[in-house]
Amino acid sequence: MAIKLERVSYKDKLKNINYEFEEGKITTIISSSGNGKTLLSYILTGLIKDYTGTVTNDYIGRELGYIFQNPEESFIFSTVKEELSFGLNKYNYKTDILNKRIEDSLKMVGLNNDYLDRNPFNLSSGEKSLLSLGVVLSLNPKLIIIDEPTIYLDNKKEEYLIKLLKKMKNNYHKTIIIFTSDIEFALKITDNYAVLKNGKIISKGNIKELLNNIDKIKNSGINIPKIIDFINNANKKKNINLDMTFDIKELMKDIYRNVN
Amino acid sequence: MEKSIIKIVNMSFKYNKEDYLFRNFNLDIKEGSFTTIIGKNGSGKSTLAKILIGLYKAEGYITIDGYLLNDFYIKKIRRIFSACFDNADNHFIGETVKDDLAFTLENLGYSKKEMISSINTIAKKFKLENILEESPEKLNNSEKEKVMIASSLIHKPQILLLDESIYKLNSSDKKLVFKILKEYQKEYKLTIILITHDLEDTLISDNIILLDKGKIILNDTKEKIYEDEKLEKLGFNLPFIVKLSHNLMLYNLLDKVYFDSKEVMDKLWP
Repeated sequence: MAIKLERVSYKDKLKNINYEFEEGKITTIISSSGNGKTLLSYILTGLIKDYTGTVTNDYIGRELGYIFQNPEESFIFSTVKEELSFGLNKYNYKTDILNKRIEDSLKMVGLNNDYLDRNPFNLSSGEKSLLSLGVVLSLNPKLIIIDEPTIYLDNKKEEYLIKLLKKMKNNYHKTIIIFTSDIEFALKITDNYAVLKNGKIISKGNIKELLNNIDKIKNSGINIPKIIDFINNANKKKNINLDMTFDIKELMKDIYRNVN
Repeated sequence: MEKSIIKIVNMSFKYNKEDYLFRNFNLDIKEGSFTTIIGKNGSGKSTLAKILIGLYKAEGYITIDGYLLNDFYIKKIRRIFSACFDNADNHFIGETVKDDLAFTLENLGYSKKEMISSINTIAKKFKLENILEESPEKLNNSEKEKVMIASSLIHKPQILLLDESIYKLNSSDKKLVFKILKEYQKEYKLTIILITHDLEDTLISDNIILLDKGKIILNDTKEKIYEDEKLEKLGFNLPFIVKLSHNLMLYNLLDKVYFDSKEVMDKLWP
């Protein structure tokens, strides 16, 4: 199985993209809006076909799960239960197994049975995001592609999503590809990364290389959290070795060690 | 002592049948000052902005550069008082970025030659040269906000009010816009009022006002406001560098609060 982009271009929006996704890992494509992020996700999933170059994606049909940036785009029914049953119905499960799968899927994304009869369109935007993830996960795909998963999530739901996706990777060997402009989220979750700017990949590598390339990411217009920016600048300009952290108390301890 | 460019005396305001949001409200903004106004949802920040530009009528007295804010002087006031709001799309009138920039100048009776020179100058400053012929709708969010602010500054107003108008700027554009604002403050004595929910943005200003339910809770210099963690106790997230400074002071690694991370690094690792 492989997922690979070779010399992929699309109109003047994507230019000569070469990238091979590592299987069983989380890869994050980082870019701010208007740089070709969503287009590239459509090409990977087969929603756009008139690109040039070669796209290899051996995960087809049920093996591939795609979660839209706007969760409402994937909703068609008036209850959460129908939404979750729709994909599963094709597989002729017995009613009790079907119901269990629906309940498990909801539970997995942090929602409970109270949601079953609710209208998906009336949920909060964070709940909508989680439900659309639950619908996709219920089909047990091997490859999960998510566009901007954090924009509608509060901190608590985001932490939950991070744990869930890491569990999907570690326990079930899923391959996960995330498209995001949220660098803080990327730093917390990813194994590999690529930065997309003006339709080109301007930087790629593993998480360690991501941390070493904060400047490049900053120059591509992505907002870097102040604490990461500080650590990055201090390490470079003062030739010290502070660990990357989002916790100011951790940073304090590290600074204390580094000044004495 | 600088003169007051905005003076609000005994101002009261309410929406229709609701209770008064502002009651006998007073505020003095000095010429050439840079003030950020912060406050939670419903504190009255945006209402105050809309009162100041004459969109909502309030009781009491408001003067802008000595002119009483009323229908008679509103045209004169519009010339010297520019305002931007949070939705850049509502701001655009022209078919292209260039038309949009020209619009204010046309209204003010600039000659063709003056217009071209003003547009070129502002486009260069804001790095808009490559998008002058684009339709504003086609720009990305960061560019939209940049064009909106550029068109508000093109005729060198005396006051610029920005109500949540900078939160879609990407990091490099934000840096550029902040640099230009500081430059206009220094060179043309531009008075700037920035309304924001993000305390990081207060670091660029000289003064900070905290509004709560139509009342001024704090109104002081940035240095005074951040000398302790009072804003945190009121439920705000302090700017990172302020928070770090306070932590470093506890460990005796720093003598006071700094607003520039480079200064903090130089203090820690000379």
